[in-house]
Amino acid sequence: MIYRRSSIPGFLRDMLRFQDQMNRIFDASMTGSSYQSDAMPAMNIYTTTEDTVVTAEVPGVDIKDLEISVVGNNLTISGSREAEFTDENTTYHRQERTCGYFSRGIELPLPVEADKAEASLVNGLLTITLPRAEADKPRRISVKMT
Amino acid sequence: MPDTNSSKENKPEVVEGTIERTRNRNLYSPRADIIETAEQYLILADIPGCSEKNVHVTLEKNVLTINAVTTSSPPTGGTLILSEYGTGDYYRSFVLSDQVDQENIEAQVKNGILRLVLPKAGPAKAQSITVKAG
Repeated sequence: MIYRRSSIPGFLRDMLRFQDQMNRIFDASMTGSSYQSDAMPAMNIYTTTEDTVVTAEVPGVDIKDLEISVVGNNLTISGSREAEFTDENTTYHRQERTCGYFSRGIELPLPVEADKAEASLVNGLLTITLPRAEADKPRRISVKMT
Repeated sequence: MPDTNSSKENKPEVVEGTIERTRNRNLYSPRADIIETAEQYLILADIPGCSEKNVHVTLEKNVLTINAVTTSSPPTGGTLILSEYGTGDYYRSFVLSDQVDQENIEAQVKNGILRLVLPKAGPAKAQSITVKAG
């Protein structure tokens, strides 16, 4: 229902604002939980004083099928994992692992230098190390006694 | 071939009480595919972060158990900003039927995937019999 602004009594306005906030919370949590799908690789992000480290679990993906790109502050990981068998004589009794192409972009929390980024893939665990931009590194400010 | 641990979510955590642990790490049930071909059963389990040295597959009384330990650790001195997955050990067990040739099971770990080849025992194997002229 739409009220004209001047005619909403005070307590009702608070209730409508509360309702807006609740809707916003549920919207945010819904999109948050959709990241749990296995199609996009799950990622952890760490920051140290020197760089930002992104780790992702991508078992079964060969290095040649993996693409990592950094544009500005956005990191995109894409790749594909092929299915094991596709002929007619095979039956899948249980399929929990997804196959096919995946792609995921994520915004990094801190500015990074894309040129010096390094990535390594060990045992299906992808680790991307992105050094922080020089201007953004924390600096000690020394306090002088006067 | 039923398994004793049915799971639908992404790498669900094993419930405390079903397994007693002495290690202080998270325990997950790895996602697995069970595939049957004409000659064998195949189990593919996602165990990222584990190499073949850290995976133990045991077979006892028709129960096949996968135990894997991760060696990866978060970067030292880092602050965790976003965590969508946890790291820990993997455990899953399957009950095998008599149709599996239990002497010749093979296991292989590559790129964080454990691949178990379970050949079918004799009578279940699809055999084609050549017809000879007599």
